[in-house]
Amino acid sequence: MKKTQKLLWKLITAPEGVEKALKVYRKKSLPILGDDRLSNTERLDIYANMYFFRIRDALKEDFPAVLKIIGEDRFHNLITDYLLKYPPTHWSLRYAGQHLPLFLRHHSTLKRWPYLADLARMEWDLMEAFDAPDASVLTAETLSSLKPDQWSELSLSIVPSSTLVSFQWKIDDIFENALKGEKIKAARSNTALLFWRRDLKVYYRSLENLEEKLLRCLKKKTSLGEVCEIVSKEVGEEKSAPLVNQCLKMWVQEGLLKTP
Amino acid sequence: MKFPFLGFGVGLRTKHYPFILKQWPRMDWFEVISENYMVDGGRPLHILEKIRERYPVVMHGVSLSIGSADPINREYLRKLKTLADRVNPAWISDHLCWTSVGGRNLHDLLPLPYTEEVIRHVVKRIKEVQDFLGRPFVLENVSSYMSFTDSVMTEWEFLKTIVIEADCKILLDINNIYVSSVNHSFDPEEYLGAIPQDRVVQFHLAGHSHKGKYLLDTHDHPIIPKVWDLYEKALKRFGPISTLIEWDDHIPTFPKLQEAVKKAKIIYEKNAEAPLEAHYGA
Repeated sequence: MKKTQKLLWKLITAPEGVEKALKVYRKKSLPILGDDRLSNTERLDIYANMYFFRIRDALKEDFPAVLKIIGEDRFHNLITDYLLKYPPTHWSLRYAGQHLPLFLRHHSTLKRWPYLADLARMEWDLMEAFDAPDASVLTAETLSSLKPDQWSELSLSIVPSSTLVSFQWKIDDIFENALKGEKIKAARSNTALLFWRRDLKVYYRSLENLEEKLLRCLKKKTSLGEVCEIVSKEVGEEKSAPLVNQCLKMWVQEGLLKTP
Repeated sequence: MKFPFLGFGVGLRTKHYPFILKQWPRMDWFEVISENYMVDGGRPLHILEKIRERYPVVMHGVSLSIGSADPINREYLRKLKTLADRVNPAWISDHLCWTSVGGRNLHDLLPLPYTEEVIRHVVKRIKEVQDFLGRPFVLENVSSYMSFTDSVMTEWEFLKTIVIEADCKILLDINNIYVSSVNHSFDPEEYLGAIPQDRVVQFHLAGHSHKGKYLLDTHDHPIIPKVWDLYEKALKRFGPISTLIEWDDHIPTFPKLQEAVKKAKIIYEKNAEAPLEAHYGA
């Protein structure tokens, strides 16, 4: 049974079609019945076509900005190449595109659209935030109820749906332009983006160096005292308190912090 | 475990979320694609829980791969059980097929050779699944476009033997029977007639596409009259069975789906010995 299923898998996933794939694998016969209406290879080809189109269509939904930029035909060819290297290994179609950002780093489309791997990575990160674990968020009310001696020991951590990613391009602008169908003004520029989900909606925004450093610390539990120390080292003790306050207020408003 | 008559439902699809959450339309029950909700958090689970508060829900999977030569994916089973514990569905179903081999997934429902060896293999795995989930399992017949040279029996003999030996139930997809009957030139009524009456707990109804030399199970068209006719025959044979309308592509508005549900109800009432209400909760 394993032998038959493995053979069918090879033939179904062969981009050249079942008839040619049989020659490639030097197989003279198939364990499938044919009849006057459809030969056995034509019958297996029905599954081969469905395999490709089903995954391609799912990836169109997952990577709409990549699709907009390169167009239907090139996207079709890209996915043909991609599936040869990375056939789905996960039981959920949701993960069929998990290697596309990496794959694009070495694909010929990158010559014309050098930011494409970054763009695919951004679209993947948006999906990851969409169905990441829920968390109850720290509220302004909880913060205001703290006694002064509790502040420095306050444990801070960022919600599990959050991801911090460094890109080589101003990828948020490229993403937005692509979805609006506007001309892409591609700018090579190191960009750190934060992705997270608040309630049920996914957000992203760019980060300055210091905030990126702080939020990376908050991926692990960190005390407010430690946050203050980092800020103090960067901007000096005098400026640190108002800056930490400002960050805390913003993170709470954005639903970025988890309840301790 | 009891399999109550849930009435007439539709597959829950994201396109209809806004309508359902705003209107809370009259619908007996919803069937959800299990894999779409086997996630850690976010909108899908939130919506499902809201819907579950008001409607009965059945979990219908597409990736169990019960006929695969690979060992059963325990991580998949654990996630399925976690979802079932959270949602408490009326029952859990998946297909009599294989979808993956060698750790690679085709994301399609492929048929199996109808042999004694495959029966033993599938029965053993269904028992394993039922033990793990702690509840009986419901198996659906698939549409198919190919059959194997090894097969020594019909599809209906294969299905019947498996459900009896594994002691599980059947989700009988009327459209799949019709599609396969055309693709493999058999009599769909013979199929219906061979299925044990006490095993069927659910019907699926859906549309398909005509591809010239064969029919493709696309779930993107209205149900054709011949499938409605077969449904009527199935009702006569199996009696009050929970019925679900499936639509996965070119999905119409929710009120359009309700029209299909209404049609199923009319056919049902025409054939039922007792008024419809008498079957609910039976």
